[in-house]
Amino acid sequence: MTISRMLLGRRPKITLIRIVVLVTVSYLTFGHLLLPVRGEGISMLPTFRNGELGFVNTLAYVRKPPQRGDIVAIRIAGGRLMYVKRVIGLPGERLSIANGRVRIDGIPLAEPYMVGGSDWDLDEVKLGTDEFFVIGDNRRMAIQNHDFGMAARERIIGKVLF
Amino acid sequence: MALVTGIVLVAGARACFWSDRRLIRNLLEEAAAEASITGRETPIERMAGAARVARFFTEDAMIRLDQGASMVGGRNAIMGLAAQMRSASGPLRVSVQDVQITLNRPATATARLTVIVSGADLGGRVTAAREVSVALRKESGAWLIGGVETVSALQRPK
Repeated sequence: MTISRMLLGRRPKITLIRIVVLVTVSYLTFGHLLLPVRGEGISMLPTFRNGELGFVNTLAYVRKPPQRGDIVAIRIAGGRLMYVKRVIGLPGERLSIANGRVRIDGIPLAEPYMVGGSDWDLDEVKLGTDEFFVIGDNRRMAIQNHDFGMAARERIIGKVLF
Repeated sequence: MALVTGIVLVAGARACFWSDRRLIRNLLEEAAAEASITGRETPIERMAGAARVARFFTEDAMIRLDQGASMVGGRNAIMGLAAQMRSASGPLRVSVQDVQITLNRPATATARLTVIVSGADLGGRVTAAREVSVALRKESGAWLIGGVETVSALQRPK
């Protein structure tokens, strides 16, 4: 048996086509559609741990916008650096935080993903027509060390899957 | 004849714009390269390096960081900042990516790009990456940076 037959089987043309298809599909999937992300930092604890691997579904918001509670990836710079945060406020809403409790248009928001209490306070903000309010799940850390705020729709790359 | 003239004019204009885009891209890449720090510079070399960085800017250039929280104005102040950073930092490599250039008029332009800072002694690990908006101006035939502003992904409520 020749080496090429050992490597490529009895039908080398079909094998090569399969390899090309596999490489192309992998490149498209993991290079553009399902982006791998590795978490750095503690702002999304306990949901997303430091060093944990996830994937960003870039097609999740093609037909519908991000929903409250979604964990999304927000482009920071370039194509690969992004925040991973949770959407808690939708465009047009008024949002405030008092003693750790989030209110949307004056109504307290249920946040079952939160663990433990928080003492954060935030004056009411009105979200623009294309703005989402994003924040991490770990609100036991000091507010000044936590990156959160309004993100324009165009910066939201996709939905984070674990 | 008119058609030929028109074609020549359009082609010439396109060539000029393409040339300007290339010049601006080169300028930004050279500025980033000059901003890189080897970590083995003598005080005189640090000052010379800072002066080389400053020459990419106009006299009245302004650098705004973090939605205006920090500002540096004027070429001399930028040179001072560059000298300060060269004294305080270890080896750093500064590079630019995803450069998008808009030519506004014949003598002004804006560029949107990502500035990547990686530690040369950390195996090239990215230590910082920021999206910046750069305003450029053509003076005496050469493009210079008139302003740099960092673009924040998240607008933190006040």
